[in-house]
Amino acid sequence: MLKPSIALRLLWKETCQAWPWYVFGALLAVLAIPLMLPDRLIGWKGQVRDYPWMLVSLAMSVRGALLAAQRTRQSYAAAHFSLHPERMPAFAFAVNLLGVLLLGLAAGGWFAAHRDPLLLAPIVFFFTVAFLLGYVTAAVFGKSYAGIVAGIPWLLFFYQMFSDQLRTPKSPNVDLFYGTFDQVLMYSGCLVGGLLAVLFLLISHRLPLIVRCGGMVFFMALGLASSMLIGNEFRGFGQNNDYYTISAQRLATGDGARVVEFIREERPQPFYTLHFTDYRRGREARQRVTVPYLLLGFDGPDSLLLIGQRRWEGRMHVVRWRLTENRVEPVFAFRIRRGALHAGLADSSRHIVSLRPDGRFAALQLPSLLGEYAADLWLLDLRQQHARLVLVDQPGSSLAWQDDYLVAGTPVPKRISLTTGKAGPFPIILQEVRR
Amino acid sequence: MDTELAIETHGLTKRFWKKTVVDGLDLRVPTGSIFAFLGRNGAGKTTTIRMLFDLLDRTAGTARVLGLDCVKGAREIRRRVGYVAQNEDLYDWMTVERMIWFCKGFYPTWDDTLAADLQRRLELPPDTKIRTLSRGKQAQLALLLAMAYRPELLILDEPTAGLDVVVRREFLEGVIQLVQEEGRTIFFSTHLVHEVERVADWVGIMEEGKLIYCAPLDELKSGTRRLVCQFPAIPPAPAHIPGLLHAEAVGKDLVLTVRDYDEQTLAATHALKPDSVEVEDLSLEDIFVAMVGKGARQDA
Repeated sequence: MLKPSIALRLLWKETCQAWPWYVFGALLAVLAIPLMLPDRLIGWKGQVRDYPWMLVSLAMSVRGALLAAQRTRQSYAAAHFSLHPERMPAFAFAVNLLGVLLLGLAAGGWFAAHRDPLLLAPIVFFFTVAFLLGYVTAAVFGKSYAGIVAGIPWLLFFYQMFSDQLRTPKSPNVDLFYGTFDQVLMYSGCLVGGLLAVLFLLISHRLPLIVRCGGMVFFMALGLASSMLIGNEFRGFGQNNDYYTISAQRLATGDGARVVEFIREERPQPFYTLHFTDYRRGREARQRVTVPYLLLGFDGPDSLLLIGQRRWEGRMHVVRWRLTENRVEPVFAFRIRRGALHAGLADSSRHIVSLRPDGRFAALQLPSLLGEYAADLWLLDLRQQHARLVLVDQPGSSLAWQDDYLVAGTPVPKRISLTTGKAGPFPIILQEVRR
Repeated sequence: MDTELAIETHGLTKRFWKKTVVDGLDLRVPTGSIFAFLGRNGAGKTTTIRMLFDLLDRTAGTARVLGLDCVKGAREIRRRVGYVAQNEDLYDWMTVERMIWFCKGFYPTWDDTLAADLQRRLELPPDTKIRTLSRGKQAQLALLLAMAYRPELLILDEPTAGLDVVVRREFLEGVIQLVQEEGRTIFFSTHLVHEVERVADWVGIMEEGKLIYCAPLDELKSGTRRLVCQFPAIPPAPAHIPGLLHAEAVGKDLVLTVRDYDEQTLAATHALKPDSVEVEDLSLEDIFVAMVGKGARQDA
């Protein structure tokens, strides 16, 4: 262990050397806050918002590469101080890694507080991987290679930007870019792990063979695990539609007199507006919400039921919007898998919500994890305030209410008891038609 | 191992792939001496020093510094030995004062009074960033940092490389003055031979990884002579001259450099039947060139 006085000196030295990078990174991260973007950039916003993040990652890569290049410059300490030669570089690495993590936590924390907590881990991971990539590549192969590695995502980003300018926003190149970017990020875990293993092998020549082998295996396993983590959690990062999974909705009464619109807005920060208009009475109400909701239906002349879930939450919330008081109040919540509401929203045919006219029951069909076209059906008892999963992996196209059961328009229609929740075949009475 | 030796190596060897940079070095540096470690660029001086500091792994052999094995006792060696490397890589973003403060924490024996005294004598401006200092001042700062904890042995690796003549002389004089006051051992490598003549009392000469000479400087200088033999025609090949270091024919003259000069050497020279023989004293630089330059005979 280092003596406190020595550790403090080393910490002071690293802080003095590293702080401009992290301040620079933090400033860039601040630029990413959409609040600061002028309105005229709205069409570009998706790309403009990505600039700072890419710059931060580039800055972290360069910081890593420079730090690795300074390993030889740490030779003053290695040659003069009564420390293990690797102690100083290891300390510098640890301090900088901590700096990257803190920067990631600060930037991700801002997003978590204002936009989407799911982005916290990816942002931390994004910065850390960029730093490690720069450091390890420079340590093993030299600074120029680190520049190439750090530059690839950056080049891809510009490629996407220009191709986006030249073609339509839905150009296949966009998907190509994001696909490639995701791949690069995913494999970077393995790359970093492999490079760490090589680095360890290079600097551990005095350790026993078994320790060296163990270390190599550990770093390679770490890389593999990182890749798996990125593959599972991080893919899709950077896609502009990643957050805005709930699209605009409109709900009207049968006579068209009362209309509710669910509008997605992006400035000054992502939020949604519920807009109610009563054409007959000439009344209007607006309510801003941050939770993405699906419109369930009117359960009275002056109230509307909504169902919503934040992406990271393991609960679904049923809320009531009291139109006269313009107040949103909770009804109840039930446990459901995270992101259930948001999965597959690009294919909205699997999202079906229905409220029984008397407001006693509601049904909710959501995409299932079981397959690309699978869907699960939930039955909500609003009076008893509980929900149960009544159909699994049976997508339907409609829902119809009867007195004591619900009919799901699955390929083979099902009748679901409202009291027991049990599903059975719907009895179809065939009538002979005589000519 | 001899405790009177500050540095002692036996068969110290370093190979990079197939190239042998240091080849079976047997070096003995007496305690209290000012030892000049001479050699041309690439002779293996820096590699040797880096092995002594455990900054490079040795391929074979042993090395002890202050009686400590240079691998097992590396940390202790760094604590007790001052080292100024070639083109010392100081933290150039620090000021002089900060650098001194930073290094101070690593040495329990750091002497603030000595550091302040050295700083004053070397005229090092405390608030100036190291990157703005001249190379001479940077070398002097490195020297201060290496001396302020009163090391028992000071190792200087080409400390004056890249400095101009005036600064080089000031630097070396400063070192000698400071160390003589302390009575400590100095081991310094250089290829600028003429500068060490006034300073060193022991000399070791390396060539192509091998130590070809190691003895007190006085012994080397007193026993080495240049013999200028004038012949009526083209001079003959100089055979059977004892201690012949270097031979060169210049017109009708044969210039011989010999070590351990005595009557036998003169007699052997006269056996070549020259018209005349002039015996000249040599500077250390002349001796060095005779030993490692073109025409040198290392079998001598």
